[in-house]
Amino acid sequence: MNKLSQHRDTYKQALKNSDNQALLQEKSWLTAAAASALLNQDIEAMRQVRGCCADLSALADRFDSTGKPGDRWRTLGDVLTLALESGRPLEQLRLALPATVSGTLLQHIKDQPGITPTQLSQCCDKSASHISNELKKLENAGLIDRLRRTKKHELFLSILGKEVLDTINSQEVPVREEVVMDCKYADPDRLKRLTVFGNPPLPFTRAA
Amino acid sequence: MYGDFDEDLLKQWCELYERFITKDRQRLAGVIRFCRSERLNEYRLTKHNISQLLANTTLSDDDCLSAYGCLYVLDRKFGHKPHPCSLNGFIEVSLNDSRYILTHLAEHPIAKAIPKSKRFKSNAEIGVNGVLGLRNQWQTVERSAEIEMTRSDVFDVLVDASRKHVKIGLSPFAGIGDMIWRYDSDDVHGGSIPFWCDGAQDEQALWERLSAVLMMAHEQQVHILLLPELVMTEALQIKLGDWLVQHNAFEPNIRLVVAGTRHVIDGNGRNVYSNRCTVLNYCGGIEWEQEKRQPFDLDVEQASVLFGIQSPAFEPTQLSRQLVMRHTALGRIATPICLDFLCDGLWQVMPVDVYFVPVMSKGLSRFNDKCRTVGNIWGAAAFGCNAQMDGGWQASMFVYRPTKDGLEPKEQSPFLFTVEVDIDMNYNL
Repeated sequence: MNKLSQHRDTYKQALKNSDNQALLQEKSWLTAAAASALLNQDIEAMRQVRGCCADLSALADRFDSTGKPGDRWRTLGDVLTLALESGRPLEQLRLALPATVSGTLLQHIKDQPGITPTQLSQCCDKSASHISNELKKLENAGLIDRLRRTKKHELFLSILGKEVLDTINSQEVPVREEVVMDCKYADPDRLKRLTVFGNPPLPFTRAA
Repeated sequence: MYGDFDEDLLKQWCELYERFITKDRQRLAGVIRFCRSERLNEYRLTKHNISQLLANTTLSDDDCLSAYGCLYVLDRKFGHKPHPCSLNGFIEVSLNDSRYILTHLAEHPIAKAIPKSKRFKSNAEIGVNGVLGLRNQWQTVERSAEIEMTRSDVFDVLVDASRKHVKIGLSPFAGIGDMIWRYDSDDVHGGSIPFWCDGAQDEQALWERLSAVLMMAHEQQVHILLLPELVMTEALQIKLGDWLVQHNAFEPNIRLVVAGTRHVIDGNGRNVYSNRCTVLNYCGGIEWEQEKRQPFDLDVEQASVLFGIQSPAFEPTQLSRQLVMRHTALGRIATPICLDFLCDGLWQVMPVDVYFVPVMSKGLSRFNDKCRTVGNIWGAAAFGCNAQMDGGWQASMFVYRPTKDGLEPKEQSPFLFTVEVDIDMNYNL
């Protein structure tokens, strides 16, 4: 039996025993599982959560005394809260895309662990404040770690950053030359940026 | 139980934290300081065997760094997963007969809105803790404490990132003289007699004053209204709830009313009360209730001034074991009552971001000192409303954010002061 079914059964048992503390705990667990599946856009996990919770509503109507009439909206709020307060896998991927400034920074940090923001600013020819903002995004997304040594900050990839970058770099996307060739009105600089680090543009960054 | 974090891993995490951080943080910080960055980073990226680390009786510097690598990875990994504990309670672990809860250090919207150059750094950001840079802490708590933390959606309306401030109303609308005080000189406990609040001198007049405050707070678009300690009665509170249903429910400017506190008969014993704070939502429904946890005594002189009797007196309340908190869009909120905010050791270790404190006290200097303490520990903000006192707003309320720039409440009427507090609703983990 998988974890999801175990928690569903514990929830059912708690309904039977009117154990409110366990009820609240299991409800939160199942909501978090749903939020996690949604955040990861994991179709299989979404199917499993949906199937697993399918027969709970009528039971809850009858036996769950912790509920209130507005619970539909509270649950919606719960899912959104969890999504807002957790790491967002798609945003992490987006930040790591080679065509973005943050992705470029990530690649530099990978190539030169311990690089400082000032060095990055020189490498990328961007202002210090621009680099600082991008680094903040990467740090908040958990992709890099910043080690503070006296007044100097040294930057390293985190485990998550390494994983995300490996995922991006391992994408085997066929080079769609005809798409790039068609873009005769596109900004040449932008086209050049899209193929930075020798990677072709990912399907969802297709040049307009 | 919590995604990848099953019970065994949580216990190992807690044990590792207890051993290397709680008991030996100075040594660990020293080792980290003298370790080259590249090497330290390798410890973070390598997978270590936690069981083996815990089994070691003598620890080398290398063991310390491996433990730090584990702790750091667990700390960061945990922060990026959706966790049920954001909705309901804390993660708890029992270890060597002690009870631990996992608390998370997060910047709440009020702290986030203060520019970094002006914000006081919390204890977690400076010294040894700053070197360790961990965002989650394992805290020991008393086994008997009943800790209640659930999510509340009352401030979800604020999550719009364009929202720049929250308005807090403080209403010292009544004082000691407006209430009826009773004592029972036949019920002597250790030379002290019980006293309690037994309603209002003129309830109708008090309601007129309170309803005017509510009307003005609604007009002024006050989000949170805070009332003082022991100037509320059961009947007044029912009227307050009804007013919110009638005038606020469909145009909910007022999101939350911390309806002061009142003495409520508790059980069938003689002279046994609870000092209870009820918090109402925008529809007048009870959002949560907190009871007082600390005893309060009056010496002969104070009792003589209040009741004209020559005997020490005490507040005959059942001391609550509950600590009630709510996880909201404005941060984690709690409403400790008067002395509890000052003296309760358990409140100090709770990860509360914003305190709303109903107070009845002669002076507020101790409260102002305490605000600085909670600000240093967690970076918390605190707001308190005292039962009406002479001496300007400084004697009737306190308003604290962890910054040098103090806020001065604006007097809207003699019974309503408001303060606009900047917030930053952008989500960063």
